[in-house]
Amino acid sequence: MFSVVRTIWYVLLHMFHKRITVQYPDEKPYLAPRYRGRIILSRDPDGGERCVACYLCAAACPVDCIALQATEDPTGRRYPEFFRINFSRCIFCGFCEEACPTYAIQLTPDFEMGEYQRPNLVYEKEDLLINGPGKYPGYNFWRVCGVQIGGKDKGEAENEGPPVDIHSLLP
Amino acid sequence: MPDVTLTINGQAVTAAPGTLIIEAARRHGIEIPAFCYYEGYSLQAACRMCLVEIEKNPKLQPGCTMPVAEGMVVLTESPKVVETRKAMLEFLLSNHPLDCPVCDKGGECELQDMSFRYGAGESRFTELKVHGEEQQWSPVVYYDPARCILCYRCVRVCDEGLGVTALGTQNRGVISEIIPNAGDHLVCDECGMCIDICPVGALTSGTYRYKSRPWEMNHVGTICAHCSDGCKTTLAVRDGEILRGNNRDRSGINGEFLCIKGRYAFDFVRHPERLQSPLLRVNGELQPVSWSEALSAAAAKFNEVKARGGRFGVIGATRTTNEENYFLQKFARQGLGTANIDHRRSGDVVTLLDALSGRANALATVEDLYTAKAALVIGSDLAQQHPLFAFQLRANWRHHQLTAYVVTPGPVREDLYAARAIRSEAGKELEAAASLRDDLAKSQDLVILFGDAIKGDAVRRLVEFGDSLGIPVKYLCLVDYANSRGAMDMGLLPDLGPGYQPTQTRGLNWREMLADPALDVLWVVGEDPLEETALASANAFVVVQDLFLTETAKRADVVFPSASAYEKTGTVTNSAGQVQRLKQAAKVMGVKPDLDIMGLLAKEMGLNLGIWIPDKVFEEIRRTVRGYNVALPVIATGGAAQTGAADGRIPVTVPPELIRSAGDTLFTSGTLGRYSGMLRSVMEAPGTLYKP
Repeated sequence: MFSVVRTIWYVLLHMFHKRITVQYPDEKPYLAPRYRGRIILSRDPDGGERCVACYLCAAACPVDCIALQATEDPTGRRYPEFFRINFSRCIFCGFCEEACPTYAIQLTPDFEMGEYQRPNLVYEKEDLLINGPGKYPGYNFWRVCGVQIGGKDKGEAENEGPPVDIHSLLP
Repeated sequence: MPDVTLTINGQAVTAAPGTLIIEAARRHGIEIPAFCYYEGYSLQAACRMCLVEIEKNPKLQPGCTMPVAEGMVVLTESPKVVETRKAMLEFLLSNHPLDCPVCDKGGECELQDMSFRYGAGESRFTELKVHGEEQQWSPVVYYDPARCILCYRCVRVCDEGLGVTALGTQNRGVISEIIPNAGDHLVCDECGMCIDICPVGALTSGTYRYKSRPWEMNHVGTICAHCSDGCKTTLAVRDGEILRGNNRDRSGINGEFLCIKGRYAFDFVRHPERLQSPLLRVNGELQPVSWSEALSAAAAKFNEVKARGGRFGVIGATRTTNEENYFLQKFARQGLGTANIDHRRSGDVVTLLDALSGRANALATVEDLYTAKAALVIGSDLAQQHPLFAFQLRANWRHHQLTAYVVTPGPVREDLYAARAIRSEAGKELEAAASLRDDLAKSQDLVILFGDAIKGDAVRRLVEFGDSLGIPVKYLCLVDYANSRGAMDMGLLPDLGPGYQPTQTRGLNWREMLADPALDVLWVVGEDPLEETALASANAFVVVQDLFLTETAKRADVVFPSASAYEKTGTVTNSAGQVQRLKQAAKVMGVKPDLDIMGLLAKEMGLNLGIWIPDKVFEEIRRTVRGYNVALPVIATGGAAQTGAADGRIPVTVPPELIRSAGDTLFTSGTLGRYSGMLRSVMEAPGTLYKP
C-alpha cells in the first residue's frame, strides 16, 4: 500500500523536473575539449606537418586501423608519404594520441562521421590534416631535436650550440 | 689452471681464470649493460655502463675489463651501481639530439633501452648542446655525430673484424667524431657491419633509411642468394617487400657477419625488369601469355620431341634449391629420357670427393676455419670472393693465432697477417704450395681452401701432398654461387646422378649441348649460358625459367618467370657442404618457384614424377642421395647440417676446361648482381680481384 503511494508521489515529482532529452540534431550537445572523437593530424606553429611517421600510433592501435608509410623530403625532414585511418575500425580509445611523440595525432570533440558507404570511412592524410596546432599550441618537434632539416641547420635548435669544425685545432 | 669461483649478486659462479666479469655474468644469466664492450673484439672501457661493485674495492670497477678472481663478491645491481649508471646515462645523453621519433634505431636502440631501465630521461644539463653535421659516407652508410656515444664499436669491427680499417676518430672530448678513411667518404667493403654493431642510431643504412620501424616488419631468417658461403641473413619484410637484411640474432654459421650482398643486395627482387608473366614466342616475338598457354606449349613440344626420339639438352642452375635441382635431373632422366644434363661448374668438387674416396672428417666446415691451427689458401682472393671464409680465418687469427699461408696470383688481404704469402702464376700454385711443405708439416692440423685454380688432376696431387704432410688435413673446394655445391650433389652432371652415382650413359655437357647442331630442345632453368656461347642449333626449341629477360631468355620460345631464392622454400648447400633451409620472405606477383613450374610441366606432359612440394622432395633426397641423410630438426630450426662425403671412388674424369669460376668480387654477383641497383651504386671500390 505504502509503496504504491510512494511510486505515485515520485511520478508526480518528476512531472516538474527539467527535461534532459536533447533535441539532436537541432540542438548540439556540449562536448569537453578532451572528448575522444574524430582523429585529426595537426600542424606545427610554423605550418609544417607535425607527423614524423614514427609508427608509434600504428603500434599502439589495438585494432590496427592506422596505416602509414614513412619517407623523407630532399632536406631530410621525415614525414608520412601516406597516412590512412580506417574509422570503421577505430574504437576511439585515444592510445594513438598518447603514443604520439610530437602531438601530431589528436582526437577532437566531433563524432558526426556517419556514412552510407563503408569505404568512405577510410580517411587519407588530406582528410586528416588540419590547419593548426590543435590542443597543443606552440610545440614544434623540429625546433627541439638536433636533426638538420630544410630551414634549420645543426646548431639552430633550442639549447643547441653551433657545430664545431673538427678539422680545426681550436675547439 | 683450475676454475675460479666467485659470487655475483649472491649467486655462486664458476668461470675459467681470465674470464671477464661481464662474460662470466652473462653466461649465468645476469646481464651487465654495456655499450662499448663487444664479444670478440678488443676491450675499450669507454662507456662506463658496466661498472660493478666489488667487495673490498673502494671504487666501482668496469666489468668489461676486470677478470674474475677467486672469492670475488660482485654486485651488479646494487643501489650504488644503479645510481652510477643513471649518472653515466645522463652524461651520454647530455649531448643527445632527442630525435628518437625520427631515428631509424628507435625501437631497437640500446641507449633507449638503458634510459628506460635506469630512468635518466630528464636532463639537468643547461649548457648548449654540440651537434655535428650529418654526413653520407657512401651509398649505404650515413653518420650523424650528434647521436654518436663514442663507443668505438664500429672502429674496432672494421679494423679488427674485417681488416679494412676504414673508420677512425678525430679530435677529443665532446667534439670528437668518427671519421671515414677518404676524408668525406668511405672506401671500403661496404659490408655494413659498422651500422649493425652501432648501439645507437649514429650509423644508419642508406637502404633502410626512414622506411619503417623494427616492430612493423616480419623478420625472416633465410640464406643469402649470392655467393656460396651460405650466410644466414634475416630479412625484414613488410607487406611482402624486403626492407633490410641483417643477422643480429647471430643464428647461422656466419654469426652476425654479412657482406654487402647479404645485407643490401636484395633489391633485385623488386627490380622493374623482373619478369612477371610467362612469355611465348608468337610470330617471332615474345608475348605475355597465361600460365596454361605457356605450359601447354612447352609440354606439347617436349612430348613431340620425346615421341620421335629427338635430342634434349637440360641446363640447371647454381642458385636454385636442392629440391629443384633434384627434381630437374629426375625430370630429365626419367621424364624426358635424356642424359644431357649439366650446369656451369665453378669448382672441382667431384675430383676432390673422388680423391678423398669417402674419407670421413676430411671436408672442412665453416666452423673448422675458426678452430684450425693452420690454413692454406690457394688461388682465391677470399676477402673479395668468399667474405665469410675470410672473416672466419681472420677471427681465428685474432683469437687463436692461426698460422695462415697464402698462394695467389696477386696481393690479397690475407697477406696482412699470413705467416707466408707466395705469389705464383696461374697453373703453378701447386709447386708454390709444395715449397711450404716444411712450414705446413709443423702445424697440428691444416685446412686447405682452393678455388678453380686447382682442378682435375691437380686436385688429386693436392690431396696426395696433404696426405704426405702427416697431419690431419681438411679440404674446402670453393665454388661460386649459393647452391653451386648442391647442383653437383643433386646430380646435375652428364655422367653422375644424385650423390655422385655414375650413370649408365654419359650425356653431353653444356658446352657440347650448345655446340650440337642437331639439338631439338634446350631447357634452361635459371641459368644464362648464351651470354658467352652461341647456340649452334638454329631450330632448337628453347625453354627458359628465369627472373629476368637474360640473353638466353631473349632467344627462348617459352619463358617462365621464376621466383628468386628469397621468395621460396627449399634447401641449399654451401661450399663446405652444409645444408641450410630457405624461408620465403618476399612475395612477387605472377612468378612461381622453379619446382612448381617443373611440377606443372610434368603434369601437363602426363608424367608421374611424384609430388612437387619442397619438403616431400627433400624427404626423397634424404632417402636416396648419399650424404644427405641429415638431421631434419637441425635444418628445420635454421641450423646448418653437414652432409657426408660420397662413400668410395667416383669413376669419372672431369674435363678441366668445364670448371671455371666467374671471378665475382664483393660487388658483383653474376646475373643477380647486374639487377641489384645497390651493388651497382657502389662506385668507390670497383672490387677488382688481386688489387695491386
